[in-house]
Amino acid sequence: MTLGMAPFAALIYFALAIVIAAPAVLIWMWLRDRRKGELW
Amino acid sequence: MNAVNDAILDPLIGWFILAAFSALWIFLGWFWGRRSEGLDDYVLAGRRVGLALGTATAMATWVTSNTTMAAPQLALQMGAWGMLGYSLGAVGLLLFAPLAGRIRRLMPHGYTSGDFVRLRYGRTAWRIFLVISLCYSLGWLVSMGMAGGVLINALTGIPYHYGMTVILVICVGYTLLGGFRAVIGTDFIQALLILVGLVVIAVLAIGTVGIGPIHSAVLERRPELLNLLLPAGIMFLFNNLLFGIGEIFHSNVWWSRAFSFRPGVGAKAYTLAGLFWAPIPIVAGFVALAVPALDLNIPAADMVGPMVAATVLGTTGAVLVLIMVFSALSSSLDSLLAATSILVVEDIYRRHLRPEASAAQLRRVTAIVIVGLGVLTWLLCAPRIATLAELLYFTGAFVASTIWPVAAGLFLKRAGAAGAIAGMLLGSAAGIASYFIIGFYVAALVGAAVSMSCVLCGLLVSRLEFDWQALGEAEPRGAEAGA
Repeated sequence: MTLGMAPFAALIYFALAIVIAAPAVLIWMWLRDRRKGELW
Repeated sequence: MNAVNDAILDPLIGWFILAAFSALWIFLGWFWGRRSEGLDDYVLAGRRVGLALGTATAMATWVTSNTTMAAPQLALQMGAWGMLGYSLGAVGLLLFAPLAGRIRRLMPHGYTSGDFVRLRYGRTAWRIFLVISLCYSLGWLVSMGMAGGVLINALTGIPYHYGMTVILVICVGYTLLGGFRAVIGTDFIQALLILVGLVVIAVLAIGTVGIGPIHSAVLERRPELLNLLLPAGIMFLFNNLLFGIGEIFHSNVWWSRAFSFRPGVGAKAYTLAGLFWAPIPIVAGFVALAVPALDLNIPAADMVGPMVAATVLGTTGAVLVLIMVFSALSSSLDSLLAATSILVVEDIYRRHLRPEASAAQLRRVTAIVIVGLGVLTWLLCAPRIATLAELLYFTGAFVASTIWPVAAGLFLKRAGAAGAIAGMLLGSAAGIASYFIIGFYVAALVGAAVSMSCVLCGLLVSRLEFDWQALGEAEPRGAEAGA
C-alpha cells in the first residue's frame, strides 16, 4: 500500500502550515501575556 | 567524524555563530536572573509562567538534536512511517496536558516528580523512581552533550571536544546565572529560531524541486519509503510512542514546568506545545525525502538534513541548520540541567541529608549542583564512547514502566504503593529482557504493558482511599521571600 501523491502532498502542506503558524501564534500569545502582565 | 575539509561550513563561520549566540544566551541569563529572589524564583521562575512562555518552553525542550537531525535520517531509512512515528512523540506532550493541570492543583508547593512519588507511594517506591529518573536524566544529558560535539564537528569541522565543551559551558553558564527564568526565556527565542529555520529550508526545498518531483523521485528510486505496510516502521511507531510517553510522564523536566506555570496554564501550554511539535519531524523528514530528487550522495545518514539545506540554500542553509541545531541542543540541555539539579537537591540533599535546610541554602546548593552536573556530563562525554549515548535508548523499558504508576497515582485514589513498586520493577525487568531477547524496538512496549498489568492488579485488590490533601506539602522556610 503506497502513499500516493495527493495524500503525501496533503500531509506535507498540513504540517508546513502548522509550522508556519506556530511562531506567529507564539508571538501573539507573548504580546497578549505581556499586556496582561502575565508573562512570568 | 568528518575532517575539516568535509564540513559544510567554514570553521571560522562556525566559531562566529557559536560565539554570537553564546554571548546572547549568557547576557540574557544574567539579565533575567539579576532580580531573582528566593528559591522559587531561581528553580521555578516564581511559579508564575504564562501561556506563551509555557508553550514555547515545552515545545522547544522536546525539540532535541534528534528531532532536527535523526528525524530526516529516519525518514530516509523508514520512509513515511519513520516521519509519522517520530511525530507521535507529540502524544506524550498532549497526554501530559491534563496531568500538568492536576499536578499544579494538587501540589501548589511541590518541586519535583520525586516529591509526588514520595508523598503518594512512600519511600520505597520513591527510591526506585529516583534511580530510574536520575539514570534517564544523566543518559539524556550525555546524549545531548555528545550530540553537540558531533554535530558541530560535522557541520563546521570544529573539533569534537571544543564544540562539546562550548555547548556545555554556555548552557551551564546561563542556567547558573539566570536559573529557571533564563531557561524559559531562552527557550522562547530558541523555539522561534527552530521553527523559522525549518520553514525557510522546507519552503525553499519545495520551491527548488517541487513536491511532485520529490514524490516521483522517491517512488522511482526508493519506493519502499512510501510503503505504509513496512513492518519495521509500524513496530518503531508503537515503541517510539510509549518511549516518549514514559519520558515525559516521569521526568522532572516536565514536572518542573508544571510546577512553574500559573494556575490554569499547564493543560493549555502542553496541548499547544504538542500540536506545534507534532509537524516538526514530518517537515524535517520531508526535507530528507528530497535526496532522490536532488540526486545527492549522502556519506553519513545523520547528515542528510544539513546536506539538503546546503544544496538548496548554499552557505545560508548550512548556517540556518547550525543555528537550529544549536538552539535545539541548548533548549534541551538547559532544561535538563535545571530540572536534574532541583531533583538532586530536593530529593537527595534535602530529603536524605539536610531536611532542615532553608530555602537560601537550597538555592546555593542548586547552583553548585548545576555546575557539578555540567562537569560530570563533560567527563562522561569526553572519551566519546558511543554506547553512552545509546544508554538513552536502553532507558526505554525503565521510563515506560513509570507511565501507569504516575497516571494512576494522580487520578485514582485506590492506586497503592504495591502496584506502583511492582509496576516499576517488573515492568523494567521485562522491558530489559525483551530489549536483549527481541530488540530495542519492543523494550518500551513490553515495559509499559507489564507495568500496566501490575498497576491494574494492584487496583483490583486495593482498599486504599488516598487523601489528595496529603500532596499539599509546605515549602521550605523562606522559599518565596529569599533569606
